[in-house]
Amino acid sequence: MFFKIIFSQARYRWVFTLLLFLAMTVLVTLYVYLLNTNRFTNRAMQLVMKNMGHNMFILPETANPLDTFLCTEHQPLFEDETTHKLAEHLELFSRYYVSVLQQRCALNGADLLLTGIEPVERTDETSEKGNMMQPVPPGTVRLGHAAAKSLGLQEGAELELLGKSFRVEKILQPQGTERDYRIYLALNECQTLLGLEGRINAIWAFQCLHHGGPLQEIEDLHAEMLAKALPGFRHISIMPIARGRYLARETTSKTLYYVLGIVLGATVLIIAIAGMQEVTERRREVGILVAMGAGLPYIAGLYLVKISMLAAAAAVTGFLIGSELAVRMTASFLVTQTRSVRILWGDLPSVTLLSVAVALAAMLLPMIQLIRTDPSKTLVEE
Amino acid sequence: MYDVQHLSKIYGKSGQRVRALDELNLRIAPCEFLVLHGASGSGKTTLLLILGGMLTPSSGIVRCNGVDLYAGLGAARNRFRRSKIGFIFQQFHLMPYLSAYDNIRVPITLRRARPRGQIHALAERLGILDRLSHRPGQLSVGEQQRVAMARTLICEPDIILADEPTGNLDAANRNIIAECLAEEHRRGRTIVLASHDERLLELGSRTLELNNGRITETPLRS
Repeated sequence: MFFKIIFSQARYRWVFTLLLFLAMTVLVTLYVYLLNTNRFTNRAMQLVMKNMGHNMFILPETANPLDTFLCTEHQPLFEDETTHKLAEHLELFSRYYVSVLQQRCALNGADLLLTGIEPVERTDETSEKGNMMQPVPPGTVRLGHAAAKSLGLQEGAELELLGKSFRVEKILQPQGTERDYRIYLALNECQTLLGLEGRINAIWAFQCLHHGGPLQEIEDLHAEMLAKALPGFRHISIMPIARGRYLARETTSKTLYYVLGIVLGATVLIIAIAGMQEVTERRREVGILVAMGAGLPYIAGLYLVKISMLAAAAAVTGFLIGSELAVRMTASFLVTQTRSVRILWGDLPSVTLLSVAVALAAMLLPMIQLIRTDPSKTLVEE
Repeated sequence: MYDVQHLSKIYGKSGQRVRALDELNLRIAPCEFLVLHGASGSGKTTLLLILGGMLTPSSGIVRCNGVDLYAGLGAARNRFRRSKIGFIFQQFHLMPYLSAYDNIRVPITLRRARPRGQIHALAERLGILDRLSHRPGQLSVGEQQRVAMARTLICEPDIILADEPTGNLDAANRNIIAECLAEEHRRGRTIVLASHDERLLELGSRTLELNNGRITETPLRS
């Protein structure tokens, strides 16, 4: 009978019920859309930043960073196992590492940078995403734009390096940095060519920014953690990239929080007003239920269960619409390669619970009004 | 059954105080049919609500079967109403979205009990058997009051508190309600009926007149 009262009442005032459902659906839709768009945007932003290159060097403390920047013969060498050891430290913010052995070389009269690379993933990284720096297949090289131009090579052409022949796997887009002058090849092949087996002189790291906190705090924290994880090494952040990532995340997150705040406020207001109106309009019903011996929990339950069911239904509907809108409207313009823009089903339970919780919280004022309703007065009203 | 001592009820705050009941003393015996007679505003409804555990008095004691109704918590009064009381109001207060049948069922579900009286038998007695599937909005005023009556009687309450139950009814429906109340009295229920309808006075085994919150006259019948 309890549920019959709820359903009959909802059906009897179907316009009101429908409007409340639609209002909540619209608000959940907006919430889910913004939440997903924010995530997809963040993901795209990460990719844009990644395309700007690694944002951290990890070097021996003894190294002069200038030697690394200029790729001089004074760069210190260390074991390439270091990168794998580093990748075991899951507490560090960096997610992807690349062991690098770099050395200047002159080819066809051009001063180029021979660069052996080996991507190393953290053990907890998902296979779905993967290391954004792809390994160079054995027997091939990947050429920076300026290097390819100075060597006069196209993709698929052959390149002779220190007596060994390599096929040009790919020519990279111009970057406007020293990377345009790099000749990338597999680390072990580079080590063999240079006679430096097992040795590297830098570690590049991607996605090094922690999700929150001011930039300088993150920097200091990372330095501290790295010192514990890998004594004798230090990190150098490429600050424009780090700052760009930080600002991008801050901008999207803050925009999201402000908009969500407005959405949440509107939701609470709509439910509260509707609840107050309903309590007022149904006060005689409350009176007769009290006269028949119904307790306050039973009567309050009629309102709270109804709004919870409506909120849950609106949450599911809003989740589907909001997710679909986010996918349809953002997938077309967001740059994502590592993870496709899609409906995040894992969010459905939390969105539903949150909607019900917000609806119940919004019913606080109507419930206070209900408690203050004098049933004896409502029963003798003419 | 009821023992009311020095009962007062004052509405409003200082400056706008209305004394609805004034030091009222009253005893109601089990199985009695008491008719409260009096003009509008004389305190009849207030007294009924207080007797039903719906309205806390300003002062005085209301005992029912020896238990002080207002000494305990609200939950105890809820239980009291659920198990002992059946209210009938001038405004029927039916739930507009439930059928007549479901309106009659509500008190049964509140008691979490199976109906002692059968809904269909009761509906037949009150002449609304063919109207059970209808909503209140589809019923005449008289039928609505009979549904409200059935809702009151379905749990066979010990005490029926009726506040102007015939106030909105035509003669035919008034007679049905009056006969029904008389029948319930014959079955041993205690009935307190508040009305200013002279034609209902003869129903009672005792009649009292209320005037400005006091029993001001010698009982018309006793």
